[in-house]
Amino acid sequence: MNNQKKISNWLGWLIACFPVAIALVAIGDQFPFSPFPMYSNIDSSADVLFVTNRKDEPLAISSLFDVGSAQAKKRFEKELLAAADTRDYEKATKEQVNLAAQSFLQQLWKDRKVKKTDAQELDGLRAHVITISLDANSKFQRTEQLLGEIVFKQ
Amino acid sequence: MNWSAAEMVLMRIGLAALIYFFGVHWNLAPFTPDPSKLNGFARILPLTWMLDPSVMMVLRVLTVLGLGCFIAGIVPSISLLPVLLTVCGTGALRNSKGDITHSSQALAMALVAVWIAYIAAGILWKKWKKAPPAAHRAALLAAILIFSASYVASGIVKLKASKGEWISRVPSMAVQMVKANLSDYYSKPEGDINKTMTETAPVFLTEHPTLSKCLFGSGLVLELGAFVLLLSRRWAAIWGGALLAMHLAISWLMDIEFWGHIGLLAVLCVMPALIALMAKRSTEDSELTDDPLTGPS
Repeated sequence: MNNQKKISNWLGWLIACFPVAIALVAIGDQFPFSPFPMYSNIDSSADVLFVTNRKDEPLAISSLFDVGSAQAKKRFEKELLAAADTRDYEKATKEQVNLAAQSFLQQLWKDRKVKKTDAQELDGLRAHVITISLDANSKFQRTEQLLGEIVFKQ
Repeated sequence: MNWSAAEMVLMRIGLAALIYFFGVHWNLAPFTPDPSKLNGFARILPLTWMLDPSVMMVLRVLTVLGLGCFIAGIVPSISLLPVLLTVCGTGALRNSKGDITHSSQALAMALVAVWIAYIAAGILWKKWKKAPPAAHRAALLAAILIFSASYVASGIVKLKASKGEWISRVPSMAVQMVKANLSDYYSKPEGDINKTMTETAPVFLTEHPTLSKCLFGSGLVLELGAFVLLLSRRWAAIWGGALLAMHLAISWLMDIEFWGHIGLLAVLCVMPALIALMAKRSTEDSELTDDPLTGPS
């Protein structure tokens, strides 16, 4: 292939590729389409949600509720958005966070994968969040907070 | 791309296997979707009937048959319909639940592109029953086109969201690394937390910001330049191999696996080059062992 053909080949595919890329950005995350926005906005702090029993022992939520920690956090944020009009729990009141956490845990329990397992063993669920951040000196800071809990009637 | 018929069969087998194993959420737990939170395909069609296990069994059979016909090239524009319904249906339902699954989304997009290409090829060449090699070539190229465009889109989104300052913010990626590894641990808490990935490596990255900018910045360059996957077999293999290495590094550092992307890069970009290399070597070997006077040894 001579150079002229090579250049036209490059330009041709570039012209074909970019409108599709722009269309994907415009459509957003609508299955099956996605512009894959993961890590597009790198914050200097991050939250990790986890669920425990009432003794604060972490539960294997992926096998119990068919959801990973990251997805669980997204579900909690959806509830928080409905309760407090924000996805940031630090911007919501303690009562709003508590309400969203309860709603999230109730939905999690309702949709649980194995209906009978652990129903007798668990007396309730708690949602916690760990916040990791970098301070001005690039040192890691870590805080942990209880978001809310639900108690099962025995 | 001048793939041979045999190569295209292998690529279709690979694509079908990826779709079956990583493209469909076969074990979706029953749930009641909130109508205001429906995502993508679920906004067009009501899909909750798919959550019934008996319906899912029928869809599984239809998907296997559809993928079999796709491999054989038998009416792919029709036989891929149940596959599309299953892949897009289960994926959209899962996204509607708030569980965004980008790995299966790459496969779903490739499948949509393949199907559209077969329809276009059918209209163009008027051959619907048995797809000609040109239709398969167009379908596989369409899959690579949307796949490479999705990388470019990902790069554009990074630049747009960070107002062009993505690389300067990269040292904070160490925080995301801790988050990803802790998220993975708290999804299935067994044993101890991996301290190398949640303490040692992130601290190293924050202490060496230039190194982290080079490391993660090269990923952005690979994404924005992903259109070169379409240029030739060689470019597809080189750039595809580099993107594959990027995904494997993400998998190691962040504990996030994009099997859909890894599989697509392996099947559509790297595998054809490996086949060509093996074919070239075997030709060279036979030329060396064959005596032109006495024939093949």
